[in-house]
Amino acid sequence: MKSRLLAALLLCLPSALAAEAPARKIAVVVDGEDRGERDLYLGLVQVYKPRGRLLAYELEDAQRNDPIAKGRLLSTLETCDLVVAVGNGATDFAVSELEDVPVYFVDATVVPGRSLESASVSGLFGYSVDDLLDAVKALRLGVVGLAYTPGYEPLAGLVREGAAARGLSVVARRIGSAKELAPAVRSLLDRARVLWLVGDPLLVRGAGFEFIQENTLSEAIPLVGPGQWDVSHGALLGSDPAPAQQEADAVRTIDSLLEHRSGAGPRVRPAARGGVILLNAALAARWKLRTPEGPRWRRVR
Amino acid sequence: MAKSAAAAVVLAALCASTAAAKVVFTGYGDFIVTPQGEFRIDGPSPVLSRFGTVPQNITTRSSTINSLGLFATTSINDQTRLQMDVTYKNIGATVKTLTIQYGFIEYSDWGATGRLGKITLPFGWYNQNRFYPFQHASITAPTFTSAIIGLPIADIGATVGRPFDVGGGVTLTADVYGVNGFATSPNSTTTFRDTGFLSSSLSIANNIGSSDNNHDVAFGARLDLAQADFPNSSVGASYYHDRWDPSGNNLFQMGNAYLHATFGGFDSLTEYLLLNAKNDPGALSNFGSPNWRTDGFFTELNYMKLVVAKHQVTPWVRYEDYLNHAVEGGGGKERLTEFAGGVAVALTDGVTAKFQGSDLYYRLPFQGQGDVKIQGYNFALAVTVTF
Repeated sequence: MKSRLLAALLLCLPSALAAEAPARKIAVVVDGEDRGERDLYLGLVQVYKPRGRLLAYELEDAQRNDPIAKGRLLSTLETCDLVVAVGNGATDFAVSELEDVPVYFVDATVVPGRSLESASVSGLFGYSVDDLLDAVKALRLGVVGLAYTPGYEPLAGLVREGAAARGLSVVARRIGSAKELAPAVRSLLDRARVLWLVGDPLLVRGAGFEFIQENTLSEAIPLVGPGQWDVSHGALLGSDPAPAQQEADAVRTIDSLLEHRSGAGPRVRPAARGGVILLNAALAARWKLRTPEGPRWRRVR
Repeated sequence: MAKSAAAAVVLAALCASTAAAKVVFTGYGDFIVTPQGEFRIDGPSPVLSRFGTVPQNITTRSSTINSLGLFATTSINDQTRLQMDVTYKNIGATVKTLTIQYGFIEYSDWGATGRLGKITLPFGWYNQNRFYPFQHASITAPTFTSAIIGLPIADIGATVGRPFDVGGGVTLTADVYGVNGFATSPNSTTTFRDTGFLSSSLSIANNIGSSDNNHDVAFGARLDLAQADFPNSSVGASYYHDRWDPSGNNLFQMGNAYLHATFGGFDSLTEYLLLNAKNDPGALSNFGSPNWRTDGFFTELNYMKLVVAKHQVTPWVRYEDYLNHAVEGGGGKERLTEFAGGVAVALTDGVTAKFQGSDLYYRLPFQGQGDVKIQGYNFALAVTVTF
C-alpha cells in the first residue's frame, strides 16, 4: 500500500514540476474600432510577445454578435492567466463576458462600477484625477459635486484627497441605481459649482448622461467627464493621459499581476499626472472662462 | 489491494492533468411570424392525391419558433478545441427535431486546422458562413438550398484546411474533407431522391445517416481566393464526390462556384450550384431518366451602411433560379425561382428584427401526367436573438 502511494507521488512529481515551468499566458485585446487605442495595444503586444505565451486579438463585430465566433474567443480567453483589455470596447467585452479570469483594463474611461467590485477585475483608467483637479483649480470653478456609483469608491476617495490637497471642497453622492440618479444630480447641482462624473455608463452614457448634460447646461454648471467623448458631448473638461506613461504604468502592473506580487497597489487607479487636459472651447467661451494656455491644455471644438 | 491500486492510478492521473477546461455556452433564438402567405397548388389530381392534397389555394398565418440553438465551446489547450451546436426545431408541446448541427474536435498546427466529428462541410460560402439566422439579414435561406439540399450540409468525418500566402497580397485557402456521404433516401434502399415537392421529404439532407452506407468515403475540396486589397471578399470553387447506393456504384456529385464581395457598403454573394446523381430510380417519374442534374444559382445583395436613429438597418434583395432535368435531356424539368427582399433592423446588441417578402414559383414534372405547380407569395416577420 505504502509503496503504491509512494509510486503515485513519484509519478506526480514530474508533472508537478512541469506545471511550474510554462510561461504565464496572457491575452491582449482591443476593439478593432477603438482606433485611438491601437498604438497602446501594439506597444503592449510588442512588450509581451518576446516573453512567450501571448495571444493578441483585435475584436471584430462578429466576435460580439456571432455566438459561434464569440464562443471560440471566450473559450480561448478563459484559458489565459490574465486578459489585458485596452480601451473601452475591449474592457466592456472582457468585464461583461469573462468569469473567473483576471482582467486588467488599460486606458478605459467607461467601466461599469459593478465590475470594479469584482476581485478579478483591476485596471488603469484612461484619465488622470490629478490633471482634472489641476484644471478645476486653474479655472477656479468652485465647489466640486462628485457623482459616483458603487465600485468607484476608491476613485472617489482619490478625488476627495486630491481636492483637499488643493484646497477644493467636494460634495459627493453615491448613486446606486438609475432611479437615484435624478434626485442625486439635482442635489449636487444645488450645492456645487462643477459636477464631476466617474466613468460608469449609468452616468456618462445614454439617458443618464443626457439628463445630466441637459441640467448642467441649463444651469451653466460645468461638467467634468472622463475623456474625449464626454468633452465632445457637452462636458467642459476631460483628460487624455500621456500614452508612453500609460504603457509604462500598465506594463509595471501587468508584470506584478503575472508574478502574483503582493503590495502592487490598489486594484484600480487613475492615470498618472502629466497628460493633456481637454477643454470644451465653445463652453469655455460661452461662460467667459479665463483658460490657461500651454501644452497641457487642448481645446476641443 | 485492488482499491489501493486504483486510488494510486487516480491520484496520479489527477496530479498529471492540467487545469480543467471551461465550457463556454453561447446561443441564439429565432422567432418567426407569418402574417400572410398565399400559395396556389395546381397539378393533375391523381398526382396530388398521392400527396394527400388537391388543387387549391392555401393561406398561411402562423407563429413559430424556427430554432433555438446552443453552442458549447471549450479550449482544451492552445491548439485543441471542442465545439458543439445543439439545435431545437419544430417546437410545440414537445420538440420534434433535436439536431447536433455540428460536434467536432478541432486541432490547429503549422497554420492548418483539422476537424474530426460532425462537421459543417466547407462547400460553397453560404453553408459555413451564412447558414444561421444571426448570420443573414433575411429570415429564410435560399429556398432551393434549404428545401432540396437541406442546410447546413454537415456530415461525420474529417476536414483539414490551411491558408497559403501566394504573394501579391493573395491568400489561397484550401480545404479538403472525407465524410460518410449521402446515402439512399430514408424509406428506401434503392432511391436517392424521394418523389415529392418542396417539403422536408424532398430534402436530400435526410439521406445522411450516422454511418456510411457503403465502403466508399465521400470526399471533396474547396479553394478560396482572397486579396488583401478587397477585405471580406473572396471567390471560390467547391467539389463533392460521393457514391450513394449500398453497393457503392452510383455517383452523386456536387459542384459550386461563388463570389462574395463587399464594396461601397454593399455585401453581395452569388453561388452557382451543380448537382448530379446517376442511376436514381427516385427521379425517374419526374425526369424520365435515372440520371439527373441541377443547375442553378442564387444571388443576394445586402446594404450594410444604413443607420437610422442609431440602429443599423440592412435592406436586402435575393433572387434564385434552379433547374433540374435529365442528364440526357428530354423529359420534364423541375424549376424553382424565387424573388425575395426585406430589411433587418438591429434593435439592440444581440436583438435583430426582420421583415421579408418573397414570391415563389415551383414546378415539378410527373412523366405522362403533367406538372405540379406551386406559386405564391409570403410575408414574414422575425426576431433573432443572440446571447
